[in-house]
Amino acid sequence: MTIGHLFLIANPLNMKIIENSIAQNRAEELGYDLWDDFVIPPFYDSLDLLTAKKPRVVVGGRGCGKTSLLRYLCHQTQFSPKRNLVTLYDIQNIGIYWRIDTQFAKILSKRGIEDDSWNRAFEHLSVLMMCQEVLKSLESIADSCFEEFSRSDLNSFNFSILSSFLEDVPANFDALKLFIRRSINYFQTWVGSIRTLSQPVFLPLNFVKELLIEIRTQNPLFKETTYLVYVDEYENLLTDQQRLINTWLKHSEMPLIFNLAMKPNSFNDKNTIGNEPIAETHDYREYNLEEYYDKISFEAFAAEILFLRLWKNDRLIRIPILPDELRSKDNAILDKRRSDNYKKKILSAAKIFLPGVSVDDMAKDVYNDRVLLNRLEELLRKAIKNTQIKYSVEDCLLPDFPQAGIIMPALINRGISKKELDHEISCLRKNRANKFTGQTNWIHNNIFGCLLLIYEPLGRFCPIYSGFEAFCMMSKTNLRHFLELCYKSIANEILNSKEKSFNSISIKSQAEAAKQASATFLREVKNFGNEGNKLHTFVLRLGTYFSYSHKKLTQSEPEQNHFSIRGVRSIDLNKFIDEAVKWSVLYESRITKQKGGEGQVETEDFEYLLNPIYSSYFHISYRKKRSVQFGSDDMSTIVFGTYQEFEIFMKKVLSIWKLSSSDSSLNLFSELEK
Amino acid sequence: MKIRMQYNETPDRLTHRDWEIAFLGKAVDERGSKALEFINSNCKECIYFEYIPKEFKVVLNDNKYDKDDIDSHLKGIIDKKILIDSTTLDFAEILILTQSFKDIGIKELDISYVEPIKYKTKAKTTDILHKRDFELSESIIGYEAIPGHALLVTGEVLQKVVFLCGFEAERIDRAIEDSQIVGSNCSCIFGVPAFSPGWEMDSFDNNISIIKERKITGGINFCGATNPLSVIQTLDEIYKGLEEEEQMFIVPLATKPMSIGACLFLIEKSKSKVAVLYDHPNEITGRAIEISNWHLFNVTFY
Repeated sequence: MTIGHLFLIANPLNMKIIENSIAQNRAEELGYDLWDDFVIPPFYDSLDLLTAKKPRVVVGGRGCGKTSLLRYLCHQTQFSPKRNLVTLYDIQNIGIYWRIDTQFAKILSKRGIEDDSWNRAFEHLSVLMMCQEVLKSLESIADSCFEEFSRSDLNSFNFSILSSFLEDVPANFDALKLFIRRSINYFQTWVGSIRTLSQPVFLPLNFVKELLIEIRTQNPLFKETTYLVYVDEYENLLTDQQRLINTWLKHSEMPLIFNLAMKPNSFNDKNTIGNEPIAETHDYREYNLEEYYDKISFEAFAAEILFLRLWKNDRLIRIPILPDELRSKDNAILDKRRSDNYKKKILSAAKIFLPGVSVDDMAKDVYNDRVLLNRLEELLRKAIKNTQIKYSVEDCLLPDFPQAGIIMPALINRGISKKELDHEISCLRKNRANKFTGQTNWIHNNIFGCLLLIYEPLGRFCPIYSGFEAFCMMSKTNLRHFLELCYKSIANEILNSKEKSFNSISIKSQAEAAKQASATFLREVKNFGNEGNKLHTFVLRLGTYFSYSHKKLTQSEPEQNHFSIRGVRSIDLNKFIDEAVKWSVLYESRITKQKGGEGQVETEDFEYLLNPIYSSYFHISYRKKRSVQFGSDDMSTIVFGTYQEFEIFMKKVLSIWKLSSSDSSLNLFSELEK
Repeated sequence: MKIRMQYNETPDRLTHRDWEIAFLGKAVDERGSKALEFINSNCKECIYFEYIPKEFKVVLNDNKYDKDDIDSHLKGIIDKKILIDSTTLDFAEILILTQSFKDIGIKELDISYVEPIKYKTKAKTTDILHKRDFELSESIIGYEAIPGHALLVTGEVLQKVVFLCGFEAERIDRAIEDSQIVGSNCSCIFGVPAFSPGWEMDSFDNNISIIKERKITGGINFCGATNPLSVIQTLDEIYKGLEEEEQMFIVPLATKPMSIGACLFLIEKSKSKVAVLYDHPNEITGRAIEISNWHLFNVTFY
């Protein structure tokens, strides 16, 4: 069975394997060698991460692919045994991935020892770990398909110069490797017993540099080699440790360049241990991965990753991509991947695999499903009763124009007169200019919100949350979220489908997956750093607010899911919002405001979008359509208020919206989460 | 090491030595107050003990010392009959005290624990909450090593992680999120039988999705929720299975008696082989409701 570009042959066993391949959505689960799994982002040529001679700082929210990118750059992937071709050019830049164990790093402070000594201890540990990776990188190259360097070459190195730092340091490769490992072990033991064991001799950063110089001078293959250290999760280090790394970054020069990776809003202390802080452009260049995703098509990139994962475990699947091209840094191939034709091809295949329902079809479905139609009739009845408009429910249903019929309750509740509505309906029927379509376009502005309102209390899957495009919008720039939506969809399809093979995932399986993933990721907020519990409460409160705002019968401000803050914010509020942005609970974007009308001074402000992955849980829109402006006091209540204070705030809001707290279906929803 | 365990509905029915010195924490609920009341009237000297994780300091009554210096401050009690009240002390505090007692050569100690009738659940709110959401921790400091029981979590050696599971599954989630731990190297221990029939379901229900999502596939074990010895035996089985280069991390998030088992296991083992990952929660006031059984564990070191 062939559908479009996608040809899937799968039996249930294969689908199970596919389910597992998609399930791995954390870089850590894939290990260090990502050669088979990594998809080079189409903007890779703008990053120069493996060739730059100046430090780079990679910024990105959780799940956007930072760690995968860094692990791709590191020697385990670059010199992977799975790679068919490694050239002399490749060994000119060797990447080292370094994620410091922060729970351990934190005990390298206080405890009756001077800060300066701890700094040297941290430097010592860093040096040992970097040296260990440098030696491992040589082994990676020796084990790779690069023919000019083999295991026997390792023993030709003589590192005797290193004994000038410490007499015990051996000169031979294997002995040095063992020495470093023993030194790391002893260091850990000493840290646990600082009063009883003797302090090791702390090695300075120059120890690594000397090691690199020896490698460069003793083997001509490496004479131009630069080592690029990628420090991941920089934000979790202690301030003094960050300052030390900042200092190394500032003084980065060949053959050792330091690069950092961190979450947004994390690069707060740019001081070094000297007098001069580090400065962007002068000392480093920052790359914000999520901004790059905004510039290219995130959808196309997500589709490529999905198809690669599907293919990797079931090569019978015909896919619209060439896996080798996804690993290629060649400019021509990157250009091809950025081309409209290519993107169109893979997006259409993705939409076949994860089909969505058009708004028009969703509207028609309401009229063909007795439960949904009952709900629409109930909304119409309420609207007629509220406004005393001289209509019957049947007058308003407009089965010949389902989209128009679905927005009728909102229009009636908004107080639009019968005369006007009759006129517009008549024009719509006669295909003349009308407000349902055209410039006013009531349908376009209201249909999404009105459909959500129809489905809201029914506790059944809502097709709005299905489809490849919807999955991309709910994921925003978070690949982990996207893969989880796909994984849960496939898992649901295996459970729901009686067929032995399938070419696409049903709407039901997808919509259920969106609900499950949303609940899973909401629960995960609790572990977002030390403010996790507060962030979790904040998401629940903000989501509850938006959820009620979607229930406004007038739908005058449909699809509210982002906000700005009016007035002076307290330091604590600013700090909290920054933390929420850091953990991608909120997405921040700049807006320009004009004060005092047109032509007046423009000021810059920010608005914040609740991460759309939570939209399905709260039954709200994932499209960034309408914003609400909170006063700073109200925002403080949402963030810091006690339960009672938040309840008073919500009651006030609900009375303005003419809603009551019993209008919530969230408890029903929460049961479905299980 | 030998452990004798006894429990009863009232403390006066417990058989015990005449304690000369007791180490206590702060009561955050009724059972804590009752425990302190009982110990104060049955022990000659009571010492308030606290560990401050951010500062790596311990508090002994009104004095603050570096955690690393604790042995020198406890040396004087080597010949005393000692009680630790685990109801009011947390895991890190019990670990630091027991390790220090062992290091300075104390041969015997008692550990008391008062079981609650039930734990506080979250009040019904307009927020979406579960009936199995317990209000146990006010805030959590985060995973920070305890000096003396810390090893680097790296990808260099295979590290087996054992989670002692309680009600707060998000703490497992954070341990994995904040480190390079891989789910396939992790196993879980649940407290079964639980304090009260049915409580194990709360623990399973809260943890099962995390176990699935984090792909924890190293195995599930069960030890009595009030039985430290059973925890020691289970941990020991896992320990015996370690290869020469492998290490073991214990993440104690379960009941206090299970944490006691973890402490007693940890203090006996090589520090280069076994370590702890702990997130130092601040217990919420009034977290436990009413009092069930009183437990007393008598530990003799060989």
